[in-house]
Amino acid sequence: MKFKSLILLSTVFLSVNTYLKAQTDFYLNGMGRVIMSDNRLTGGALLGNKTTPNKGISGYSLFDLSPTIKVGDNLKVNAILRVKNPYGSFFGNGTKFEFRQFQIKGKIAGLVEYDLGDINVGEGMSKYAMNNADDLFYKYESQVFTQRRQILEYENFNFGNKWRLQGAQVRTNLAFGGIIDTVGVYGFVVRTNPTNESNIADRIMTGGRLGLIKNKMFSLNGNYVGLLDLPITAANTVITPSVYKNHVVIGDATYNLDLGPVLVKANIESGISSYNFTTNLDTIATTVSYKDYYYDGGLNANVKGLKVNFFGSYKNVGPQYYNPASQTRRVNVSNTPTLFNNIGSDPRGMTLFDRYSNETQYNRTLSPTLGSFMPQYNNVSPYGAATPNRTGLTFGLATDTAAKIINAEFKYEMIKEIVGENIVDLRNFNVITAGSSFDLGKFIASERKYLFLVGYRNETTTRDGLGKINLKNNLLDAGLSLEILKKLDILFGYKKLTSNGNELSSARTDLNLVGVAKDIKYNMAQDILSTGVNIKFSGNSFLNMTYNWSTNTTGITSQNYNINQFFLNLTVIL
Amino acid sequence: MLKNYSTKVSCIMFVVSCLGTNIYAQGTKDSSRTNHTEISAPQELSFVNTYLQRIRKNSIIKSNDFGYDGTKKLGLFKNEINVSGVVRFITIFRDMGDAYNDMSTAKRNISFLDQPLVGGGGAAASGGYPMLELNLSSKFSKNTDFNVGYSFIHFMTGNENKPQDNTRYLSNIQNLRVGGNFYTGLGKFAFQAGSILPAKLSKFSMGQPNFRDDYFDRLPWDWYRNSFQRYDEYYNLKTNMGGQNEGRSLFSGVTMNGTIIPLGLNFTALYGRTSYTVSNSNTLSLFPGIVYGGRLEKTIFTKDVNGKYAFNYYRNELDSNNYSGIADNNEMITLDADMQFKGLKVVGEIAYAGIHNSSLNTTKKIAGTSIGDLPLYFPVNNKGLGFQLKTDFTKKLLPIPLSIDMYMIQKNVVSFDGSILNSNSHIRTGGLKTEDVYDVNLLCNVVQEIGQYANNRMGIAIKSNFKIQKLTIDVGFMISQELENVNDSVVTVQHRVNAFTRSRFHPWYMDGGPYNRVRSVFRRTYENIGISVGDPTNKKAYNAAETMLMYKFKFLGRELVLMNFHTFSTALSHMSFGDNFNDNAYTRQYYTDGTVVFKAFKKVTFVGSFGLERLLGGKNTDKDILTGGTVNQTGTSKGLGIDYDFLSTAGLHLRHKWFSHNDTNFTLDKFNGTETTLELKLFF
Repeated sequence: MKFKSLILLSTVFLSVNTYLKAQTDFYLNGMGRVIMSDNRLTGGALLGNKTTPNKGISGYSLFDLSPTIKVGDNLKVNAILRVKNPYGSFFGNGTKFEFRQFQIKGKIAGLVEYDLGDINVGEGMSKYAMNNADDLFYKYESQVFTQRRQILEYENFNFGNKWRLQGAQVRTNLAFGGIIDTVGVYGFVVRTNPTNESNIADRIMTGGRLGLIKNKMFSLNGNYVGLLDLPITAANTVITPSVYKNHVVIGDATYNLDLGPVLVKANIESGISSYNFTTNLDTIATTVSYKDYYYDGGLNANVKGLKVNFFGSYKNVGPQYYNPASQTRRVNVSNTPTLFNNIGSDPRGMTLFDRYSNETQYNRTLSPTLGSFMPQYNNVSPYGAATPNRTGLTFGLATDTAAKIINAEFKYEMIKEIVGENIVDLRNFNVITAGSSFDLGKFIASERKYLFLVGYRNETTTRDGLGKINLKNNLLDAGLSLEILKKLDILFGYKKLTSNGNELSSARTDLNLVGVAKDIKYNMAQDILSTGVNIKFSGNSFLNMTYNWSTNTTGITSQNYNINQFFLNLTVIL
Repeated sequence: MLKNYSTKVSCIMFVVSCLGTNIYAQGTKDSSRTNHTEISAPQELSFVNTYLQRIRKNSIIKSNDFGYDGTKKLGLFKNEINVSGVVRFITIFRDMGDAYNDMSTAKRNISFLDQPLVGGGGAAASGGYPMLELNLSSKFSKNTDFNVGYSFIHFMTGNENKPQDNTRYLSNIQNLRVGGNFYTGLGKFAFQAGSILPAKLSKFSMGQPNFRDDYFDRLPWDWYRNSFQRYDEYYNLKTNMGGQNEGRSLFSGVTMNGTIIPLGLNFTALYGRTSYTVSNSNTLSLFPGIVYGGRLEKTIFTKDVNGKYAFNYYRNELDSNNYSGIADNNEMITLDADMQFKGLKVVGEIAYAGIHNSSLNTTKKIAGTSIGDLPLYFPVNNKGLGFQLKTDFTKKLLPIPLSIDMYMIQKNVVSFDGSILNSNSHIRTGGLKTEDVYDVNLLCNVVQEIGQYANNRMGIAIKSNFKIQKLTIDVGFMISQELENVNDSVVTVQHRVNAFTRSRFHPWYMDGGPYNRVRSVFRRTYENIGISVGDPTNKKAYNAAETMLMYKFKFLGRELVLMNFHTFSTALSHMSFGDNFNDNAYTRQYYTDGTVVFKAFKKVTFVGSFGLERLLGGKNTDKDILTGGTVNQTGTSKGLGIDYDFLSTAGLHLRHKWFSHNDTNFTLDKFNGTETTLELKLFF
């Protein structure tokens, strides 16, 4: 309870602080968005099925009003009040109001900035410390898909690799000069789960990053993330509450060496995790503890004349390296899609198209266990860079950011497991990732944009022995964006995902242990073909109208289906 | 240890940071750019202090001006936002002696909404208007704008302890829309999306009918700040306030308006739903229902003629449900024109329309097809034609202005969003599954007001107006006849007296009253008079005549306006002049109302009103089982009111009305009582 008192005390001080200074000014931000979609479900899966909904129109209108109020000289308060109407409703039927965000931002002594409330946590931290990774390769996808994805990211607060959590964070940069140059300090404390005052404890995450040295040649940093239960807050002592604690400590360093024609950048990082979980499952207290480590080091050589980077790295992420802050999946594959959620009495599984159209397919909370994933999308790194039980080499080349007309990259990953999953044999992963964009507009010195994109990812998973695995995944992207009239683009996009073979997938238990494997056969292809127009009004305001054909094909006709969708999105950003 | 240590440290750091802020907030301002770089040196500086000062100076966080990131603005400031709205507090107290036994509320009822609360919550859906409508809008760049409204409804239940009573309700009723403009060499395109977007195509396709209301009851959307001006303009300009959106449909979705410059065309395109597209129960589900349409308009301007003509397309596309694929839709293509010649104005529209649905008499069974054991019916298209031509002769051509309006509209020419009253039961508001008792637009064999159109009907309406000194006289005549005798069971008449009062007895129900004949829609009621002996070999006729007298003069040195309206309308089994005045007519209805408006002081206006309605059923209509008589109704109203404009933007409006209704033959059909309305309205 004493921690509650501290938090309460903090709130009181903040309130006093806020009240002391009269409101002096404010400005308004906001976003208005109207979405409409006309959807059709067809295909073999509906043959003989006369009652499955296969046609529907949906959408919404929303406006996020975001006042930022200046309180005194050092404090800003920001909130987002959302009003949302379902498509086609009238007279307030179905209107919902929601406080989407509340933030307090301020400075102490002009040196330290702090944020309170709904905050985006993890700025500048290592991807092994804090990461909100998307396991889908989309770097070279068409704008028609990017605009759909941006809706989902906005709705789910997916801002880069940060997580949207509730608490406080502070940051400062102290300029010492000399060799040390700058020392950066970033820290946060958030609550990821509230107590039920009975047998579920408050769960607090705290952490930060300390940049000890940051100069032009060298940087040295430390990261810490701790996720802890506070069992003392649970009032009911009859049932022993579960107690979770996980600590991660990471050090990372970079070194830049300019050799004239070549700029070499070396980076290395390593960390340890300590996981301890006592649970009262089946009334018997069980404690599981793990400690593990990872390291990841690489070299990048920028050949200035060619404007090309050559890179290579090697990593080893221990099988029991656990860090919910960097391993929680952004996509929750267990959620049933909201669009045509059932075919007959069976829930419809998530498809590639759902990942671009379903706002409820995403996680907003950190998961203490490794979540389920679909190997067809990404089998080697379903939990991002910090996917445990992976070691291997990555190398490739890519154009550097100075290349304005053509961007391209090629990457090859040779990864394998460190320990076998339910078996001694190890999985081997080979991944080829390639992509390119070409801006014809810049090439012919036109003011308009004519952009061509192509991307490809091939992933092979193999395992010999008793639990034989052979899974091949391919993801192809093609995109086109032609500004045929000033501010009016014709868009075209194509995605194709194929997966063939088998995988022995194991879900994690509540104790984060590898569960029983299930042999799943894959013979599937999913396509999305999208085309439409995008009209830019000003700034980030636009009207986007597209038609989308998506197919889900398996080896069994009665499981095949198509979703066709007309989609309209008018977004205005203040 | 570690588990508590980290948390302790975090919390303590947090408290310290808050304390620090608190203390610092009392100190010298430091957020301006200049202050950041001007750090005064202590009087005595050691080496360490100098070093620390230098670190501090170099580390200080550079601040932008509030609301800016460098030179880039981060948002809209106060002067870039329009805040407007209406405060409307209304209370209606009704005290009845005799009353219908199916009323939603008790005889004695106090309400803080236009429509009494039905079933808790949902005031918005029941037709209530908010107590506060707060509107934020801005055209924040050359090409973009937004408009968002917050509607605050207060039920004043007085019970704070019961959240389920929903005593306060925050909603969004009118405005949640955003827009953008796009310019090219081809033209200008203005997009609006969201709700509610008042939309109009043409009179037939999308343009709501106008009704005449008495001028005693106030309308929720009354926009006059000066109360007397409302009556004054009615006298001088003949401006009937009409519906809230001036004949426009309530539309939610996307609209596009613009000009195609090379062709000199104005256009409108719509994609979304209107309030009639799907039933309320299907609004929130993934239901296949949409309205789309467009209008291409060309303007003509020569020395002999000026005006415009336009091509319109409207489609209400619905399925019966979200799985069968059976269509339940209707569409309309029209061409309309509005031309002004010298002394002559011609307005007309021609429409080709169709219903495409699955009701049994519009489908045919296809051999060898079925859903389970049920045979499969496929829709059969039903098409229809309609036209309307209105010619206005001015005083340049005739001694008095004359308006002649002719029309012929077949039964399948239907648009719930248009101005044609629907008498075709093969299409229903919100889809065929809407039952008759909830279909607000089904008006079988309706006796319409002069100037209104109904389908399955042809007719002519003649109107004129002239002035004798300060007396203005408007007269109108209408004769019309159905094209086919498709329904010989009922005639629908509109109750003109106490229209608003009656509509609140059992709102939105079409089977109300002691004899299940009353149809209550928004602010008015209809009644179905059953035909006992039909005449299927003949075509029914509907006739009406009306006159409106208005006189304005000074009384005791103050302005006074008198208004008197009379209308007589009939429904006959066939076209006949004589039957308009005898028992052969299915219905004969006479209605009159009078309003006296006296501007007693600059800010005070007194209003007095009376109304009388007689409705007689003919010998071939349903008879009461006990008395054996046909409908013989008398309705009256008497009212007094006062408007006090205590501010240039605010007024207090009090109305008290005595009302009664009685049927000498259908003896249960009676009600009487008083209704007091107090309205405080404030614009900002």
